[in-house]
Amino acid sequence: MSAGSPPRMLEGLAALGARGLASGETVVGDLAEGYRRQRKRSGPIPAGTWYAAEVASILLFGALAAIGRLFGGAPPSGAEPGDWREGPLRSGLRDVTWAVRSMTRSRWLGLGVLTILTLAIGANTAAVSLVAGTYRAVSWWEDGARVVSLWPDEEMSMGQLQTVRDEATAFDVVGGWVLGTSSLLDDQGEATSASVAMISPELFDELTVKPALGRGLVPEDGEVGAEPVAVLGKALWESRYGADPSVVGRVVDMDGVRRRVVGIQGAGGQAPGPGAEAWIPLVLDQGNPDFWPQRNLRLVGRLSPGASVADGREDFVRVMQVLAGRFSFFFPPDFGLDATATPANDELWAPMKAPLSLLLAGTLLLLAVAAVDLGNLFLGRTLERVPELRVRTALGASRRRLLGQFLVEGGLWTALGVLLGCGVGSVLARRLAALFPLGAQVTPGSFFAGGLPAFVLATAILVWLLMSGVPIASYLRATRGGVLPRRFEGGRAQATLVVTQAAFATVLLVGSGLFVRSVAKLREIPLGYDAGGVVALHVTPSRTAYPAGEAQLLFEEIEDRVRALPGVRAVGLASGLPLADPFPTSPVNRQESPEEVGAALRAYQQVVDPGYFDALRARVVRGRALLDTDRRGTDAVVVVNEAMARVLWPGQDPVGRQIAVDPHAWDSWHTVVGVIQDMRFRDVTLAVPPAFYLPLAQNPVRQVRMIVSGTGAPVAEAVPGAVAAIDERVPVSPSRDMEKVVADAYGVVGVLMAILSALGALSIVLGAVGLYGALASSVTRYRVELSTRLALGAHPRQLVARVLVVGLTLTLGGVAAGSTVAALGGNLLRALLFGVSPWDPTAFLASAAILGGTGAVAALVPALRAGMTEPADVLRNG
Amino acid sequence: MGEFMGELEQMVLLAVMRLGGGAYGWAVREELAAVAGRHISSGALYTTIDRLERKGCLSSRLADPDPDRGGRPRRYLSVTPAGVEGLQTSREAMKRLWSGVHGVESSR
Repeated sequence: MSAGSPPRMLEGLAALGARGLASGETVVGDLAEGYRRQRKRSGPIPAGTWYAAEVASILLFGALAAIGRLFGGAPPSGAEPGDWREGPLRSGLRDVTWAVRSMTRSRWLGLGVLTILTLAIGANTAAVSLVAGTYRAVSWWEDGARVVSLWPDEEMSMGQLQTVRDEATAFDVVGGWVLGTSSLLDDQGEATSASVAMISPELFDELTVKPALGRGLVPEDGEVGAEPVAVLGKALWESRYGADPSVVGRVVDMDGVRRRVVGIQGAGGQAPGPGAEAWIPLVLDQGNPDFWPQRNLRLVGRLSPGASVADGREDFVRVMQVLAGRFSFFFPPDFGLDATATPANDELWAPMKAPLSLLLAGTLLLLAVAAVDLGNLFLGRTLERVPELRVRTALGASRRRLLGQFLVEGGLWTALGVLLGCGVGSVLARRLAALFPLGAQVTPGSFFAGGLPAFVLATAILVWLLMSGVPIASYLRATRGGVLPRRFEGGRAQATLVVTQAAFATVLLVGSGLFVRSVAKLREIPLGYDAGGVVALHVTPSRTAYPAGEAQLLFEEIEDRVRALPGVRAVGLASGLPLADPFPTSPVNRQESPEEVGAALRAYQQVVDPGYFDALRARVVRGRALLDTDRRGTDAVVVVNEAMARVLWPGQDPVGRQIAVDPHAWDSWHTVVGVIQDMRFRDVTLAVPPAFYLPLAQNPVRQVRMIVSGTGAPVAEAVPGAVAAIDERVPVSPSRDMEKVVADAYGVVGVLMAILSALGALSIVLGAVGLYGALASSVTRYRVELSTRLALGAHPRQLVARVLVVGLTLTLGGVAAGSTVAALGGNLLRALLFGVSPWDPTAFLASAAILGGTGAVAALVPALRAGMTEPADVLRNG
Repeated sequence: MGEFMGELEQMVLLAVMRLGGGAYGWAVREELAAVAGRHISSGALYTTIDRLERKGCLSSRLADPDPDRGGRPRRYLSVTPAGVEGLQTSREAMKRLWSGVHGVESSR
C-alpha cells in the first residue's frame, strides 16, 4: 500500500465490518480512496477521525445486516413459494412457537412428560452430586497417594504412636487423631457441646482443606508445655460465634482447658474425623498416665519419597513386632502381623464406592426407563399426527423442515426437564445424604464441582436425541420411498421400547428385592437390647464448672429429675452409646492366672449406672446387674457379657470370679457379680466381642450418655429443660433416636434398600405408563381393523383378550431380558448384600409377579376400549 | 408497474444514473453530497446498494484490481430496467401527491 494508507488496525476493522455486506472488500478499497482524498482536503475533520467514523458505521450496519439475514426479511414481491428461505433464527423461533403451542394443547401429556423428565433427571443429578460431594468430603488428605492409614481396624495409644515415630523408616510424618465431644464455654458461661478432634499438628499440613483465617496447627503446638490452642471449623465459627473474625486470638474454655483460637478452617473439605467441628493438638506427654494404656488413636503416616504402600506396611509391622518384644506385658507375640496400610483417602472412600455406584446405576436405569417412556410417548404422538404431517407435506413443508421441528420440540422438553430436574436434584441430594449414616460422610457436592455440569449436559443431549430421534427414525423409515403413507407402521418400534422399559424396570426391582431381603436378614440379628422408644443424649459439663468428682453428683441429680418426667419408663447413664461411640479396650487379668497378664485378653470397657441395662431392656443371664449399692467405698464389682464369660471361664460360672482391668493397678480386683446377654455395640454383622461393665459410681467419668426409655420424642424434648433447671451451663446435645442409631449401624444396606425400592416403584409406574401409551396408541391406529373384525362377527371378548395377551407378552418379554441382565450382574452386588445370594429366587419371582401384574393392569383399559369399539361409527368416519 | 422506492434508494439510483459508467461506491457518495447536499455514512450507503441489488434494481461488475486501492477492485454499478421502472413508479406517485398541494415553495 502506498503512503497515505489508512491505519492498519482501522482497516482491519473495516474489513471485518464489510463481511456483513455484499460489497465486501470493495468497500475497504473505497474507504481507502476516500481516506486519501480526505487527507488532501483541508476540512475541519482530520482524515483519521473521518476514517474511524466511517469504519464504525460499516461495523454497525454490517452487524445489523448480518442479524437481519438470520431472521430473513420478507420475500421480494412477486417471488414464488420456495423462491426464498427464512433465516434460520426466524425459522427456529417459529418452530419453538409451534412446539410450545403443541405442548399446551395436550396439557396432560405435557405435564406427564415434564414430571417424568424432572424426576429422572433430578434423581440422576442428585446421585452424581452425592458421588462428587462425598469423594470431596472423604478426601481428607491432599496427597492421597502418599498418606496412608496404618492398621485402620485397630486403635493405638500415644506410646505406640511415639514408638512408630521413633522407629519407622518408611514414613517422614506419622501422626494420630481421635474424635471426641467437648463442652465449649463462653465468657458469659453459656455452654454448648462440639465434636472435637485431637490430632497430631504435623498432620495439619497434609490436609486438603486449609485455614481460611489465622493458621492451622503447627508442630510446636504439640510440644509438652506449649500454650493450648484450637482451630475452629467454619460451621462452628458461623453458628457459635456469628462468623466474627475477632474470634481468632480469643481464648475459649474447652472442657475446662483455656485454649487460644489460632485459626478457622476453610470450607470445601473436611479434616478428620467425621463430623469434627474443631481441632486441638495431640500432645505426646510420657508423663500422661494414659500414654500407654489408652488406645483410641487412628494412625496416619506420610510415606517417604520412594517408599511404596507395601514398604510402609512392612515397616509398620516391623515396629509393631518391636513393641511386642519390648512390652510383652501389653502385646501378644504376634501383635501387628495382620496390620494393614491403605491409602488414607481410599480407606474412607472404598466403603462408599460400591453403594454410591449402585445409587448412580439405579438412577441411570431410571433415566433409561424414563427416556424410553418418553420416546414411546413421542413416537405414539407422531403416529397419531400422520394426518397433520400429510397436510403439511402437501403444503410444501420439506422433510428437513419437519425433522427440524421434531428436534426443536424434543429440545424444548429436554431444556425444561433439565432446568426443573437440576432444581429437584439439588433438593433430593440433600434429602438422600441425610438418609445415610453420619459416618459414611455422604455429602451433596456443589453444582460446579466434580463434573456435574458435564454430566447434566451429556444427559440432556442423550435425552434430547432419544426424544427427537425416536419419532425422527420412525418418520424417516416410513417415508423412505418419498411418499408419506396413510399411517406409520411404528408398532414394532413401540413394542421394542416397551420391552426395553420392562427389562430396565426388572433390573431395578430385582436389586431392590435383594436389598429388602438383606435388611430383613439384618433385622433378624439379635441386638441384645430393645431400642424402641429409647433416645440418647450427651451430657458434657465443663471441667471448669464441675471438677473431678462433682460431675458424678450432677449426673445423679439429672437422672433423678429426668426419671420423674412424664412418659419416662427408665433412665440409664453410660460412658458410651452402643453402635455409635467407640469403646476403649483394656487388658484383662484373671485372678486364677495372674501370670497371663495383658496379652491374654483385651476386652471392651464400658462404665454404666444401674439404670443402663433396664433402660435398654438387656437381660441378665446369670447373677445380678449393677445396683445403687455398688458405690465408692464398697467392694469393686463388674458385670461381664456372655462373650467374655465364654472366653475366660468356658463352661463355668463366672459369678464370684475376680478380674483386674486397670493396668495401673493390677492388684485391684473386681468381683464379677453378673453376666449380661451379649449386646451389640460395635459392628452389627460381626460377633459380639468380650466386654465388661464397671459401675459409674465407682468409676467416675467426665461426660455421660443419658439413655432414656419411654415415649421417645416427647421425652427427648423435655430432657434439656430438666437439665437446664438444675444448671443452665451444662450443655446437652440434641437427642438421638436409638432406633435410628441402630438403622445407621446397619450401614448403607438399609439406605440402598429404601432408594432402590423408590426407584423400582417409579420405574414400575413409568413402565405402566409406557405400556398403556403404546397399547392405547395401537388401538387408536388399528381401530378400522378392529371394527372390521367386530363387523365380521368377532366377539368383543376376543379383542380384549388379544390386546391383553399382547401387553403381557411384551411385559414378560422384558422381564425375561431384565432378569437375565440382573443374574449376570449379580456378582457386583454380592459385597453389599447381607445374608442373601445375588441370585435369590424370591427377589426374581417377586419382580416378575409385580411387573406382570402391572402389565396386565396397564393393558386393561386399552383392551376394554378395543372391545367397546363401535364398528359402524368407525367404518363410517374412518 | 415497478416497485415503490424509499427516498435514499431513489437518490442512490439517480446518482448512479447521473454518473453513467463511472458509478461506484465512493463516486455515488460524492455525487449525492455535491448535487443533493446529502451526506450519508458509508454503512448506510453500502447497505442501500446491497438492498437495491437484492431487489434487482442495481447490477454490478468488478473492475480490475487497483494497486492504488491496495489491490482491491472497484465495483461499478448500473441501474437495471427494474430499477428504472421503480424510479418511474415512485416519481409518478410523488407527482400525483404533490399536485394540488399549495403553500410549499422551494427554499432556493
